[in-house]
Amino acid sequence: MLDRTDVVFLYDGTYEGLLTCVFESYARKILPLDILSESSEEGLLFDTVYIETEGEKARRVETGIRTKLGEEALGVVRDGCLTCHPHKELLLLRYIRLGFQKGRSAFNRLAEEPMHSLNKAVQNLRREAHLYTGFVRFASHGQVLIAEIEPENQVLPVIADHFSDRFSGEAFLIHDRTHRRALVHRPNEYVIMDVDELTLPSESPDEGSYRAMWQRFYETIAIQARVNPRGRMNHMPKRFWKLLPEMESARIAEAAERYTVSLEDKGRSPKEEEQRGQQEENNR
Amino acid sequence: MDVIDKLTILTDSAKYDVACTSSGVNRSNTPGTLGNAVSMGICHSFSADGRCISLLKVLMTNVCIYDCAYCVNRKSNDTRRAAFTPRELADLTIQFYRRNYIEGLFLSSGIMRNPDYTTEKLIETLDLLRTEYRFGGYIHVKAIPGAAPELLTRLGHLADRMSVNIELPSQDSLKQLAPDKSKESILLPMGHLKERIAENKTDIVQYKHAPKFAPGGQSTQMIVGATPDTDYRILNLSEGLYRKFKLKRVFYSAYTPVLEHSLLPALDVKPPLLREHRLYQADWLLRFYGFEAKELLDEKNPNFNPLIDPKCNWAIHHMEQFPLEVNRAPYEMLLRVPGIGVKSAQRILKARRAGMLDFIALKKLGVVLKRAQYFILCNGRTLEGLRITPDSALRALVSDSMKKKLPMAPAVEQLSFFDELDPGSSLHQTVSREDVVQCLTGQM
Repeated sequence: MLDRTDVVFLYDGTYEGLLTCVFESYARKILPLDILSESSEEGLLFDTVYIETEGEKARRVETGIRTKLGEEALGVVRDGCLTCHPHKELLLLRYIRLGFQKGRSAFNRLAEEPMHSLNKAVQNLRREAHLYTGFVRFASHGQVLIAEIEPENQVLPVIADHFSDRFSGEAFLIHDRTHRRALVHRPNEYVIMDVDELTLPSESPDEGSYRAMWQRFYETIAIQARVNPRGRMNHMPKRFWKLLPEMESARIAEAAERYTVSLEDKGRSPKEEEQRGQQEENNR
Repeated sequence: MDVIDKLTILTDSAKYDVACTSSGVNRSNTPGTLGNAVSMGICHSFSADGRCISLLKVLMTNVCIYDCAYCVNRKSNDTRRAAFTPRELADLTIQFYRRNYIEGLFLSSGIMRNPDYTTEKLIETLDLLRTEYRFGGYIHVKAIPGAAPELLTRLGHLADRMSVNIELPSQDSLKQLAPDKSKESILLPMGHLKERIAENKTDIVQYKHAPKFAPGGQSTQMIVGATPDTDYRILNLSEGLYRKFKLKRVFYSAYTPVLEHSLLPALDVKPPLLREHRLYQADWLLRFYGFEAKELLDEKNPNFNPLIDPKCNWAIHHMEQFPLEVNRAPYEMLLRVPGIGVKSAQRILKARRAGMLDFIALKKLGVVLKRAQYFILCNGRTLEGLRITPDSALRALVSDSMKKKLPMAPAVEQLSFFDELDPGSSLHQTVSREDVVQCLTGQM
């Protein structure tokens, strides 16, 4: 029997940390009300227990999942930790406990919780990771290729193998601005590390000309008679545009439109505005 | 001429080629090379027309000795001409690939001098990429009809996928619009590729290191809407190509008028995008849903219904097979229900092993109840509160974009205390499944 259910676990936010929480949930007979990463500021109203990450305990839980619940379930747990679901930890704890209690066939109940929410979150992560295998854009900075991304989920561990295989001979860095982490690759090895601040070395001299050619290719390949902004947006949502060089002109066009609309709200035409700007400059 | 000018001209003349997929090959990186291939394919961007960009799609040259009426690169068209040197193109591909702009190269070409010479140029470029630049990414190359078989074989050893354009859906259309091409000249290389691919599969079983020949298979494309060919004819042709030539994909390209020609639609005719869309939907039904062309269309109804997708259209003409009990129906039948796709059908199979499914569960499994509700039962019951009226059913099955083309729904009747409710009035009538079908199939 579970002794307590009114406690909140705090942990370090890592995969090992979460597995340790699972271990402690069994060891201390607690089904926590929630499991929060130490960086979050919620949950202070409840009794909190800080769970110190212990590699040995995590490893035991991992082995248990692999042997009793299978590789597929372990994949769900591993990827589940990387999703942006606000209560992923609790979902995962319930998922693992359910599996240990009822056997892996319980995971077939796809329409029931926690499977439904967890599978959806994992699907969302994997879809975003797949999109980023296409949407990552490197620029050459001297000897290093550098890309920046702003994903909702922590996609770096999911896309790391893809990029290190594809560009095995290159030195490259992918910076995840959202989670302040970076994948750093040198020929035949890579690490994912925390990055607080990133100062980029300056771009290689020929970078601009390749980018210009890519932008030209992008503009030319579209068939004017078939223009379909909605279709494009469905496949490539706007949140990705910011870091795609080929969307630069679309971004500028949009900004210009917003500007015109805001002027119309004020009751001025863009031309008047231009004249006003000129006058102000002359006055100076 | 600068490379960027060449790129502009040769992209502009390649853009009407439809295929831009990078799928069908899983190849991990070999140390010392650049790149790999991912079998599900990766889209790197989407152009303003909403199409996926995964490959650098360009022509080697837009110079052409042929005079196909529908083509921008026909020799009689007064347009700027350019040609890449193999090195320029190889360099561009590598630089785009390193920046993760693209998944690889899609190379086609106008016909310079003759098909053999053109094919040699293509071979030279791919050889440079594969050997000197050690490029391991995806390459799709067009087989030029009329080129010598041994040249096609060499090309196939350098590429991941090859394609021969079937161009137009019938021989008559070809004769009129592409006088330099014939059905035979197109089917010949297609047959050659098919044999080499099949041969290569047994070679690889026998010798582990046999060089791979177009491991991503072959595809083709045809233009839709330039000629009077019906959807029925086109779909039958596709089915034949999938069966006979083991094609991986058939692509359809809504004809965009680019030139004035007495045999072609006028320049101000919009490309038949909806028709193209319906053909792709039907193509999917052939490849993943176990349908046959003759089930979807016939001589009497040779064209798709613009209002309803081909699967809905099939379903409402076969109401005798519905409703279907979701908890027991075989996979093949689940796939035939509008609103249930391959993924949700697989989820249903998995989930129903663990317990009975109800409508709420189906929704969570990704079934589109809006359409599926008319065709399924859960535990012997239809969806609670489902009122089948011809209008609501029609609206549910018609895609959103087509809704505005429907006549307006009858305005909701205002109820009043003082009105005598006539027992035969519309409010008391429940409409049978039959009525819906009649309405949808136009018999009402």
